[in-house]
Amino acid sequence: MAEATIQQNTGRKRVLAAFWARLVCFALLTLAALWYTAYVLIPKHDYGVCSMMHYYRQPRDTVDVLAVGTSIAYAGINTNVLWEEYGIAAYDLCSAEQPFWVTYYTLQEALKTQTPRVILLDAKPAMYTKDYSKRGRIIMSTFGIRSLDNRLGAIRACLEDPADAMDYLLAFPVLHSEYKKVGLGNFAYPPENGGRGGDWKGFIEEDAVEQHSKPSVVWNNVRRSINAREEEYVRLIFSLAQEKGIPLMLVAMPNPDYANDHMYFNYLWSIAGEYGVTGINYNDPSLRYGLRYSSDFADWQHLNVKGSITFSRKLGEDLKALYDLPDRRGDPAYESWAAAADAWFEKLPTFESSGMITEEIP
Amino acid sequence: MDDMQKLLAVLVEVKDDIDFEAEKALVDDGLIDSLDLTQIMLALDEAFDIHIPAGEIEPENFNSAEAMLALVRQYQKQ
Amino acid sequence: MSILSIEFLALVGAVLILYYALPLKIRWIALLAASGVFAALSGWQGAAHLTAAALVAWGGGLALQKHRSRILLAVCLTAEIGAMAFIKLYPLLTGAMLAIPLGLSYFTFQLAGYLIDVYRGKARAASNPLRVLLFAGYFLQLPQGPISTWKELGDQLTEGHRLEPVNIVSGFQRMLWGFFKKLVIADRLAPVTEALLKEEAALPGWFVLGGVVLYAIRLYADFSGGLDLVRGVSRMLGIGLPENFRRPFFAQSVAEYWRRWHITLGAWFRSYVLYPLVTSKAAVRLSRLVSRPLGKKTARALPSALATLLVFLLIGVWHMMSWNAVVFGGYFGLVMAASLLMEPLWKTLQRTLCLPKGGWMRPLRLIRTWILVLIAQYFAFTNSPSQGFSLLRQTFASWDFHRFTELCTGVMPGLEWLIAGIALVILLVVDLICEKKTDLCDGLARARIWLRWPLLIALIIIIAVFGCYGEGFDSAAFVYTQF
Repeated sequence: MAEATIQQNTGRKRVLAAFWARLVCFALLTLAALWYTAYVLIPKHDYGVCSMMHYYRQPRDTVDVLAVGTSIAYAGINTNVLWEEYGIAAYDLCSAEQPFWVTYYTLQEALKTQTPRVILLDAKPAMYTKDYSKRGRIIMSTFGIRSLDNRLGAIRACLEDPADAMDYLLAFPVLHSEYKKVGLGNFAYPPENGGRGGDWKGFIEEDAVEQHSKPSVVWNNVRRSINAREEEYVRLIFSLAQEKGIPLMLVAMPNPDYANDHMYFNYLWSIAGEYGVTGINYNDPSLRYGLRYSSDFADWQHLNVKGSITFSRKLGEDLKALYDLPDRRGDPAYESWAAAADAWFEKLPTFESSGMITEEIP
Repeated sequence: MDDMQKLLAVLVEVKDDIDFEAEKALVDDGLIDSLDLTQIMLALDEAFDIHIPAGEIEPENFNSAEAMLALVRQYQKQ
Repeated sequence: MSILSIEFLALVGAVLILYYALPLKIRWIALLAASGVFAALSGWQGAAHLTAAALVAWGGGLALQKHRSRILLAVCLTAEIGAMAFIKLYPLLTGAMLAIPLGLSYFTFQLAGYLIDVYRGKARAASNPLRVLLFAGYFLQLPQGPISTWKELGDQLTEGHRLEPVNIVSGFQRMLWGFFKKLVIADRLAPVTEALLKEEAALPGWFVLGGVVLYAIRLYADFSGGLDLVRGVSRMLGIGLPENFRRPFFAQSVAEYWRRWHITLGAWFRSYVLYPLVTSKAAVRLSRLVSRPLGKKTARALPSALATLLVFLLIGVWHMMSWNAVVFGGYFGLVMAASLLMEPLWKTLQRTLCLPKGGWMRPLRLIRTWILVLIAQYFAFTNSPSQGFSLLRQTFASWDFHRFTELCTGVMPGLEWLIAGIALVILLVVDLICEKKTDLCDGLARARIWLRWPLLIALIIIIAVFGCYGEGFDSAAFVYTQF
């Protein structure tokens, strides 16, 4: 009798053990399936997630110039021109309307796998007035970050109500309605980046031409306080760069709307001064580098293809003068930069705003 | 058997398309539903001059003619 | 706490772990604790009412066990049901809102059933008040039922259940299915009902009819989905809750429909209202009275018919405290009463016309039932009888299809209709299979892994992607929770 019960018990133990094993396997499979589903759902058009996801694919410690910031940066800082003319290995790790708090966590994440020789910080967020980010922007700028701590940090910094962070962390509550926009390209890896290929370095051209005129700015030193949260996080960014011993350069990209920005940028420059950080304001009218407001802009903020070429030539020149940036051309480790640049320059004539297409006036 | 024949006669009056002698799962198989049961109750009350309380309406008591007869007998004594 | 929330899932996870971690004899403490947390988080007033009601039932039960006194039973029932009626009628009488305890109707009915069962000698009164409290407040049945009897549930709750893999798997599957019905189907169809209620003047008949049909389907998916969720979780704890829906749209008569729709409500009214009414002295006297003028058969059917009418009026009122309830309940009562009284007539007709019982009569009976049930739905979601009648009239008005695309895409985009359509097909297929092979869940639980796992993972992904939840969705609260 007793033997039968003992047999029963061990039999039952075996059954339960097999059950737990199956349960764990099932849970892992389900999580994997859900993880891939989330990957498919993430909107991969150009505004931010893609540049983060492709960033991880760069070989370790190859990026020499890391540009972080908003869409103005990713449209203007032409990585292909920097490579072609100066052999500078640059990467644009930016997303649309990216506030300083997202930049801070993105930078922390980025510096885990790369040690750039200089970080270019887009100054534009200095004139952002919002305290918190919109849902769409949160997804597009944070869902590419892999490490939990930085991703959670960025998400929480974006949200007014930290309790909402759970929805973003679980991804599906905020992401699943994207099924309406899923196309075939969403399923592939590396993530579909508008057909720019696997060698892409984060530069996204804005291919349009809109006529503007040079803004009339009173080039004074009057300062205007920027948004408190933006200030808080830009200080953290400066400290981070200081701590890591990486030079950081503020970049104010040229734009036709500059008249409103000037006072905020002055304030930003003064904060930067506290950390020994300097920068170049490319809106300075005394700087002459061939920029034409009538043909170099796609809209009232972003440089177009021709504009990005003009601007990046100047930027590269300045970077070479200020920092020790080796010419990486010919280095086999930098093959992808060469390939990217080659492919891009081949495509150049097809761009409407390349400045190359001349219309025959009948 | 007199009672049983009386019972069967009453049952057939309520529902004439069921073989009450043979079927043993009248309620469980859905052959008689709740409204049929209410009519059967009234018919039994009237035919045997008894009063069966509502609490006795359970599948066990009405699944077969034998079960119903047992119930009737139980309440005839009272 | 909504049962569709992450908090609820966390609570379920915690209960499962705690339940199976505790020694067998005291496992029910986990259930009690979870129920306490759930009730407290859903409103302390409700929790207090629930506790008070349970204590009254416990005391009443013990007293009734000793003295089978009708008066004592009446007092206890008045206390329980009276409290429920008071809370439900208060807004109508004074215009002010009272916090309705979660599961008010459900636990009140369960406790009333308990008291009556003890009185009838069908159940032993519980000596431990916590058992009665758990019976009333079991957290899985508070949001929408089902309404269980003491015999079904009382002991199941307190006897500890061993961990059986088939329970976990089968329960989990049922839970997923519930999520699918609720989130993917029911919530997706919510805009259709809203479109009907917007009182747009010239809605074509086909739109109204289609909308009402979809409302009926939505209600089915919503209610049965929520119940599958709850039954599934309960099954994972080894506790079987009674079925509340058995594919009601396969019913061949209105009577059968009410045996397949909200089964436990019908069962409760049957055991505790219909049968007592029909076996009462008054009913017997009435039957004898009309025996001579109307004939024996009608005499026997009449008390049942009248009692049925009353029961359905009560069921209508239970659903909603409005004139629509009278129309809804009265309509069903009259249909049932009429079919009961006309049964002998119908049988003779069948015989003389040699109509077969099966064959082509079955689809006809299905359609007849659908039409009858559909008419009632006009008064289920509208705000007043006049709105219901107006929509009914509109159904027969113009059947102009020229605004088809405009109206349909006005409710929701084409893609959503496609998803809803596919989901409904899946629902239909599964229900058809279940109609033939009673329990799909258990069958699937025992099936091979390579069949079961892909299906389950696919279902999880479908729910995660196409469910209507999270940002941008108005998570339509369960329709039956405010009862």
